[in-house]
Amino acid sequence: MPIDDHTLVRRALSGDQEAYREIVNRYQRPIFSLILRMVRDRSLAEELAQDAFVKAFTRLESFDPSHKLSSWLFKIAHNTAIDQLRRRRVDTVPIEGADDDSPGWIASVADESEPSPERRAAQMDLMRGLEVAVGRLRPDYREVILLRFQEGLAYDEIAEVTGLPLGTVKTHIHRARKELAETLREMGIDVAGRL
Amino acid sequence: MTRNDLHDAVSRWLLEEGAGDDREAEAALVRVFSALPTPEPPVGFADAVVHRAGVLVPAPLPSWAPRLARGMAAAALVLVGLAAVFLPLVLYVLGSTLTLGQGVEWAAAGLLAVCRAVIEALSFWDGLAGALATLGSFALKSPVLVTLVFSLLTTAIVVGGLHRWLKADRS
Repeated sequence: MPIDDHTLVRRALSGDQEAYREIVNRYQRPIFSLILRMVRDRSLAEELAQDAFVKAFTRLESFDPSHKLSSWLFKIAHNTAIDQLRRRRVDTVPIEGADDDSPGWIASVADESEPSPERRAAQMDLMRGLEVAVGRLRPDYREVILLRFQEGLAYDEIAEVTGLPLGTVKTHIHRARKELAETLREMGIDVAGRL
Repeated sequence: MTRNDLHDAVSRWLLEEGAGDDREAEAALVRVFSALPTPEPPVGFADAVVHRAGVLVPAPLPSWAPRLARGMAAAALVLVGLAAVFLPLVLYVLGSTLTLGQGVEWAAAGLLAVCRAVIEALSFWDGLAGALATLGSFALKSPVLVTLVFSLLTTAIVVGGLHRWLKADRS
């Protein structure tokens, strides 16, 4: 039976190194993918994700058990990524820019069951197109979209993570969805889902 | 995930966005993202984080340590307080093998010797020598007062030290 998050936190606070490792194992994927899709740079994302976990661990005593550990970690990851974006002003990425990152991991997960190279290439094109479209959203839109649709957070959780009012979160998500759809249409991805 | 899953999800989402149904459009976009691959952190990521955190996160104290520290501090404060109040009496009791007069005489003799040494060293400075002689003679007349002042000074120093230690421990 898996140990719940709050028990893990208590164990970590009592000096259990394995509890720290388990927290990382449990949340490294969503934290890393959120930050990667925010900053669009794999090595930078790795560094920032590490920073986020280390910050979380150094202030683990301040974690309020009445909240979800995942929301707390996302909040720290959000602050870490936003600080970096403010410093480097990596606010938008041109279409070509995504090629630096997307193909590496998209190619690694391409559907191997797809026998036709052309169809596999089309699948990767669509994935790449979606990644690029997400990357072209302004950072605050991009983040709420990722938190909502990639991580499955509720509106109030997104408000807690980002520090935005609930109404603003709803507005951002609505507008971001519209922008995303518009960008895909501009890129030639039609309702049939083909480039 | 298959190619068709992603293509179908995108098609459905774009249709729903076009239809203007927010609830359906959101549900469709959830399916689009679930059909997208999630980037994996590099191998060894967890080890790297734990290694970095291990350097920065201080080893926690055992759970009983704060209680022990508070207990020791409280006991020390009580002892210091009792010592300050009862020091003259304790000294008297400890020195009960001697008479009070003998104890006072030894203390006075010690003080007198110190005063004399100082007076001799500073004999060229008559004014200071005179003041020290006055102080010395006052102390000799009231050894209990000297002991009490000494006790209070000791208490103040110890309590100040404990306060700083407890404050540092709390922070």
